Amino acid sequence: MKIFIRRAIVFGVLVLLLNAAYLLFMMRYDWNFAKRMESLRLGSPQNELLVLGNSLAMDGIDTDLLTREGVSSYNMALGGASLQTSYVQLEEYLNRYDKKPRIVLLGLSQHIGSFERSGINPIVEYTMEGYSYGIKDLPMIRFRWLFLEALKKVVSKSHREAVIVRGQLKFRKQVRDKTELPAVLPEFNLKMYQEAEWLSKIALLCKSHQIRLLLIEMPGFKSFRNQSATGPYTLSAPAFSGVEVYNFNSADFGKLFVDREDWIGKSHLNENGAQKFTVELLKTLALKQ
Amino acid sequence: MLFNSLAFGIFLPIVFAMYWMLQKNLRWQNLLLLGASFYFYACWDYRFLFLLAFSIFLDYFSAIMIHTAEGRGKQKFWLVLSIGINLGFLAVFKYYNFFVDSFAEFLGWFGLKTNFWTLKVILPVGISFYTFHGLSYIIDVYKKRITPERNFVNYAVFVSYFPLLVAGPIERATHLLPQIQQPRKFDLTKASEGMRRMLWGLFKKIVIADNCAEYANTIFNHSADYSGITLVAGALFFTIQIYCDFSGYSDIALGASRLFGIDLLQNFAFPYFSRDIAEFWRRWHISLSSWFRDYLYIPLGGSKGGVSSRIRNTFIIFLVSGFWHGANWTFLAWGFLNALYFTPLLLLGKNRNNMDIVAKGRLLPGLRDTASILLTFALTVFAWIFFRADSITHAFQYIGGIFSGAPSVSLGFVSDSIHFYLTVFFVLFFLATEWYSRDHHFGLKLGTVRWFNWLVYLLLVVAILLFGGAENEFIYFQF
Repeated sequence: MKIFIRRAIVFGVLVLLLNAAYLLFMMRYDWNFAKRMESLRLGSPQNELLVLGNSLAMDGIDTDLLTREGVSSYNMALGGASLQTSYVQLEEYLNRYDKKPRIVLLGLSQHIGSFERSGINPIVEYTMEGYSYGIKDLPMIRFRWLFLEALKKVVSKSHREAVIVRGQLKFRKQVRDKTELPAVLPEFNLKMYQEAEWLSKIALLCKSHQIRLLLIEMPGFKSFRNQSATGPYTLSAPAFSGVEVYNFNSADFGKLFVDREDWIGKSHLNENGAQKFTVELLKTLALKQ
Repeated sequence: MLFNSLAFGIFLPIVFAMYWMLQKNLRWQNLLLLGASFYFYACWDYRFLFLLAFSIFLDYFSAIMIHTAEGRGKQKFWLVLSIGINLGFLAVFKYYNFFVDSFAEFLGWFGLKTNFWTLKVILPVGISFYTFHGLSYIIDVYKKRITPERNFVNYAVFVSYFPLLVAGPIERATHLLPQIQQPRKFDLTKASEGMRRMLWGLFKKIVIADNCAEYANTIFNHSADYSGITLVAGALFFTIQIYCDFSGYSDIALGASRLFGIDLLQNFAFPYFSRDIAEFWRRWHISLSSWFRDYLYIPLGGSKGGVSSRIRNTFIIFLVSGFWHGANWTFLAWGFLNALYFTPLLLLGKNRNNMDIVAKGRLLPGLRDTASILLTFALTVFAWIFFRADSITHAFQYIGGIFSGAPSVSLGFVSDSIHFYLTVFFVLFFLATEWYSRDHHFGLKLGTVRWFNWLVYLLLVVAILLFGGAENEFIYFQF
């Protein structure tokens, strides 16, 4: 029995060591993890503009270009981030660093369900202060989905060549938008913004720190576009007073993008598309003011 | 509580530690097993504990009455009573709605509209398995193959022992009861092999079955959108899924049981390497096949008698076996198809041709064996279409779709190509490992180089943790 128990313990320790190695590997090589770790060790950031949101914002907003244009920016958006995640990230940033940003740019998308997602992104949750760890937090269980992403890096050159600059994930690869505009274009659904609980919390948090909050509907593939104007729109709920909403997913605005050149995947902009989009953001949102 | 859940990962070591702490007291050990088994079952649905307890009481009491009753008539009375109540529960919970719906449909063909009362209850998990435990025990007592167990705890453990409670293997009193009655001593070799077997079972279930399920479900659930090779791929994925799901469960059950020093009946013996359907049925769900053989086929006359009675008996056993799986015409069709496959072998006296291990002592099978294996596998895959389909109509549409499409390969059902290729890689690895281990009790036969063995174990754990599929439930829990 003693031998059996000893072997079981040794085996358990080996499994734990493998998990530790996996965690270290992912912290270093997974984009989301690496971004998250970087955002926790920014030193004394002097960012005027902070980007939050999901993978569309992570790929599609060129914070390096914004910085070069005089608006010091950092992209904190994460793949699959819910609105609650964005709230947690913003609150953490404001508590952690002395210099508060002047603007928060929150990139959202109705067609990939960024409003419906709930809960905190596992990477953010795992690395946030005060989180109590349990047996389910064994890295290979908690972050198992990152394994396939890591494998993609091994087999795909374009994935290996992607780089993170000021938090933005830059892809050179081009994937053609083969979709078509719908015969009847829908209206921009402002109601979803109005009703999102965590969005109102983000708005209140920004208000309490005198931060200008810009909510932007990110551009998408043709089949997801709407017919409404770019805006700005305002939201009627008191929590949203002063918040500006912009619709960059209109069919009209979408003419900016070239089907075969500007995308990396479904509604995700590549480096080229992100540059084009960010130039337009600078013009439309008056970010330098 | 699923075998592949964290809860079981905590439950098992706790029961294991307490069990061996009580090593010197058999009575307490068995009481612990009984308590653990009831807790294990209550984790599914505590409301059905009463049904399990009633079934145990009924068979325990009936067996004693059969044994002590004077005269064959009284003994038969208790036998019929016990079998009747056991099968009655099974009929009510598992088959009542099926019979009512089928009868209503039948009347509908004659223009008669009916609105029969149907039951809105879930199927108590494991009912088909523990009912069959009880039945074999009662019949064995009646046939005087065994004497009834007087110790109630021992008998209750025999029926409710948690490794086999919800999906078998279907044990026999002659095999399991003596082990429960005897003191058990911790055996390092046995326990280590149990752990190995559990690991292999978890790998089969979590890495192979659950990932194959993703593709099988996509293709079967949207079969009208696919054709040709894609539908064949769907059937192949299901073929691998069902084997790894069920035999994976059995491996975990047998492995877990070995930790407690108790051996359970072998349930699978590399069925997809069978050279004919008769061999397949000697290797697939062995505990159920042998149950039907001993308690149905042989009492019906077996392979004795004329051609017509042999054919009749074969069809009965396969149809009942199909129906045992569930109240759906698809299972009956699956059983019927297997009977069709089996009958020629029986009539030609070739049903016991392949009793040995295929290509024993050789790396690869000969041409003849290869052809036989592939043909048997193809027949099995075809039959699984009926098993997996939602209805007979769906099955025929699926088969029609196979022959209607262009013979090109399309990966339209694949949403993530890396995941798909990795799944195929693991399936091939699994088949190669099982082939290499085919003369062993289970699929993971390793050598004596300890560091290499440990490396394999660690890699299996890594695969289980990192590449588990989304599906969770075991298929056979619904039966």
